[in-house]
Amino acid sequence: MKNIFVDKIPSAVSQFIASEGISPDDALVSLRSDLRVDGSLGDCYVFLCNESFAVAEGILVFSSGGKRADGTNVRSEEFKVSRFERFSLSDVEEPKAEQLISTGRVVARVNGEDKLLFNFSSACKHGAAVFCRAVADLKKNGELKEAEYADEDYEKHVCPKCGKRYPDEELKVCPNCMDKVRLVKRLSVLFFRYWRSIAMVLFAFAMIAGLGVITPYISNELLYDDVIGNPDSTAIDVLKIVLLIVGVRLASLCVNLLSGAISSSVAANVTYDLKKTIFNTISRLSLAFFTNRQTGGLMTQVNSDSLTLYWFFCDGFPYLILNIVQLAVIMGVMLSQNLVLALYTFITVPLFFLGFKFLFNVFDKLHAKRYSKRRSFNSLISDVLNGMRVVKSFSREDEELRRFDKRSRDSAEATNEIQTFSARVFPFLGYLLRIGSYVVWAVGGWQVMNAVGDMSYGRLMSFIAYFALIYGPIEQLADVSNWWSETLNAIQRLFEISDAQPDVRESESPIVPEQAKGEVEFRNVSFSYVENRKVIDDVSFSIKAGKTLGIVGQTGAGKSTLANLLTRLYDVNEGAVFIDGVNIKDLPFEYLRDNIAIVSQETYLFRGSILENIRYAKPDATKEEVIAAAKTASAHDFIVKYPDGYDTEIGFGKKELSGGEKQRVSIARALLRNPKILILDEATAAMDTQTERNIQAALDRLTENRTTVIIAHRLSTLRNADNLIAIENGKVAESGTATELLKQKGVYYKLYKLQAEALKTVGIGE
Amino acid sequence: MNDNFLDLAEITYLNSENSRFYRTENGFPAMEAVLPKRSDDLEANQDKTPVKQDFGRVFFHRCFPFETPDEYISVLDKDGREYAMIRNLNEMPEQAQEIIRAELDRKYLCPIIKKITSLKEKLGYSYWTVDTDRGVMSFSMHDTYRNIARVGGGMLIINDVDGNRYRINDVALLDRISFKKIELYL
Repeated sequence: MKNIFVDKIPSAVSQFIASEGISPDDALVSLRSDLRVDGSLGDCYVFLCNESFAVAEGILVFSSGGKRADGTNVRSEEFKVSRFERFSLSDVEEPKAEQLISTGRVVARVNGEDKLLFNFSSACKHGAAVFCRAVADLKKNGELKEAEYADEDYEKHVCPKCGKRYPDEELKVCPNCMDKVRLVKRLSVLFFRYWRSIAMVLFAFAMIAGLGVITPYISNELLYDDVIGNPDSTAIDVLKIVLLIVGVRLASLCVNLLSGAISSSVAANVTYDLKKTIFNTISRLSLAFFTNRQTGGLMTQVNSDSLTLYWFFCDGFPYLILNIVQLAVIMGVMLSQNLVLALYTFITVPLFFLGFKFLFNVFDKLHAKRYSKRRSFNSLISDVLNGMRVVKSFSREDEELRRFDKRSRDSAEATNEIQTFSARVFPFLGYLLRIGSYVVWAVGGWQVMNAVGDMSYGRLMSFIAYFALIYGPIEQLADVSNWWSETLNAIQRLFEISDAQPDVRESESPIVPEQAKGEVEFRNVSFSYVENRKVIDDVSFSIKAGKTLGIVGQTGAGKSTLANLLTRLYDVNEGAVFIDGVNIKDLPFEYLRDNIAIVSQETYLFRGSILENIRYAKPDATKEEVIAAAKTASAHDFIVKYPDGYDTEIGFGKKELSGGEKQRVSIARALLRNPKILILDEATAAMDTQTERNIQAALDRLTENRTTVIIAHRLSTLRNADNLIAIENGKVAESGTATELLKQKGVYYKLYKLQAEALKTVGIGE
Repeated sequence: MNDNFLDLAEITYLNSENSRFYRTENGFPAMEAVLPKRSDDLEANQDKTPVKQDFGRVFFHRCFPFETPDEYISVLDKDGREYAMIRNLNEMPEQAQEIIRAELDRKYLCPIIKKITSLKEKLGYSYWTVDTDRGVMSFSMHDTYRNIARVGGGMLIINDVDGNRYRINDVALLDRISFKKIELYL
């Protein structure tokens, strides 16, 4: 098998290791850690060979040693060793990565005593986990299976460009090397789907810009110099010019309206596309993605970011082009008409840009401050409103009011700060920009009086009219960098979501069995949500088709995780799960979802009628099927008591189903699918014993030819299970029929006694 | 009423009389103490008389790591089940203090930021370069606002993308330039 470099090994370290008699090529696994044994920062390298492993600690020193002939820098490395230890694999037992608060350490039993092998910081925790796994595998099997370590090579986890690890391995996006050009290109792909409309918008812009330039010319130079200033002109000539002005204004109004309409429809379409793409990706992602993020935050993010893009397409981008075109044309005209005056006009523009850049930084901070204050204000509100029951029951309203008051005032103050600041600064800045125009008044006036060049009164007036057209775009351009970076941020975040790879992936060449029988087998399954903390540890069991398995165990023992693994909400880390002898990783998602239904302790009903909610599992179910399913789940009786029956809108008016009712509806939903494998994960926990019995009776009939997994802590729920397993700390503590387990006097017996004792206390013996 | 409630919890607090701490051969903390025998039996008539036992290697956890790091320290086995508690570390014998402190220092190892040399935000990630008590460190953060927690008065706990922690003991005592940089995220 080839070497697995979880991390890259520098040449100086390879040399050192070679000098100690280990050829770096012999290492099966090599990795780096950044903490030394005394807890100080340093470089620690671990090499795992066939029969032993070595830990070398020290500091890697880089020094530059001049330039090579081809101009590249010579960089020499030196590895200053502070500790070197070799361990024989036969002496080492149970290597374990102990997770501390922010760091961790790998500890193993060496000659029967716990011994520290090496320390690591959280940045290197993955390497440590791989090391522990590899040592255990080597000791057990004498070799490492290449396929199981195929993903570990460091090259797959670092950005190929800068060599840094991806902050989120799921996404494989390196923010450091995030290519803005690529982002814009991707955005333009969306944009250019509508190139026809865009072409029209741009044409409209050209018209606007053109008309904008002509207007001052007609209303000033033409009117004053050629008509009013000309003694031969008649009133009709004046009227003609006025009509011309009106015509031009009207035309420009029409073009404006047209372009506005076109650009908003383009933007609406693009953002619609974007939101659709995002929602599509989100629902495709694995459950792990959602547990790592707050769903609320995710939604606000998607919404506000799409809004930013909408704004970019609708306002920002078109006006940017318009401004540039208009600015270029007007500057051209001004420069060609009177070079000196034109230069005076722009005299303070560079100063203005500098000032703006400085202010922008200040504003950026003020805005960020307001944003964070507002955020904390909003989070307080949602927090208190959601927890109103608790607030009231501990009568803490006054305290909450005080907190509310403080944050509200903070938020208002931050807003006030921005407004005061901008009210003080912007008029001043605008004044700075317009200094040029005062110069033009003076110089231009002097030029007209002395008739320098071909300067005339009308030309000066049109010149001054151009100012109005030119300063607006300049001010907006100065703001471009501001919203441009905001837009890029939004695009990046959106693509981050749309690029995310689900870690539970459907097999590319799935096996589709003809008929599901419902045999389930867990073979040496291990799983952890967080690295180094196994929730399921080497669990094996099997269920014959049509049989019922009960899973008992304490809270947090990992019972629900087993259900998650069977439905592939998560994928196992080690081992495999089989249905009818086929690894579930090879089965198509659709097949899995069709044949397995789960009723979990968390019931979620969508907004809509009860009918729709039950039908969710099988949209084409007939009403008769729906009623049958509801009846079986003991839901029918309470549903028909509602005035609107099955059409009762959940959440409409004051109709909120109770916990038990929700559970019954969700059982009906699962039954309707008529799956081969049914998982009841504490499905009846929120019901009273009577109702549970009713459902149980129905379930008994149902489970006859159906593989059923029942997860429960109430043993009465499990009384019809063919087999039971008791889970403790992620391991199968015992398995067998209820009678066998009672005889074993283990975990099950304890639970049984506890619950029986509860009956005894009220005088009901067995 | 209150006394009753305290008794109900049945927590043993360790002191110089009922416990002795020592180091294992490889330097890990270990404990010998007079405690009731642990039993998984759920019988009501459990024997609760304390017996002297050698527990071997033990683990520690601070109950209030920010507020009172030296008080209420839980002593646990390798699976995280509690043996007993230490009410105040400073009231323990010197030798025990030394052993426990060394282990706690290792467990709660966390660089303390003294100065922020650079803080840049780029496409939703922030990049930090800081001076800490353990030298210059650089790290990056995602969703910066949510990964800085204010605990107690002015103490800040910062989580980077890898899950490493950094600490600022009192944000008000940072120099002006550093404070301006971090202020936005508070």
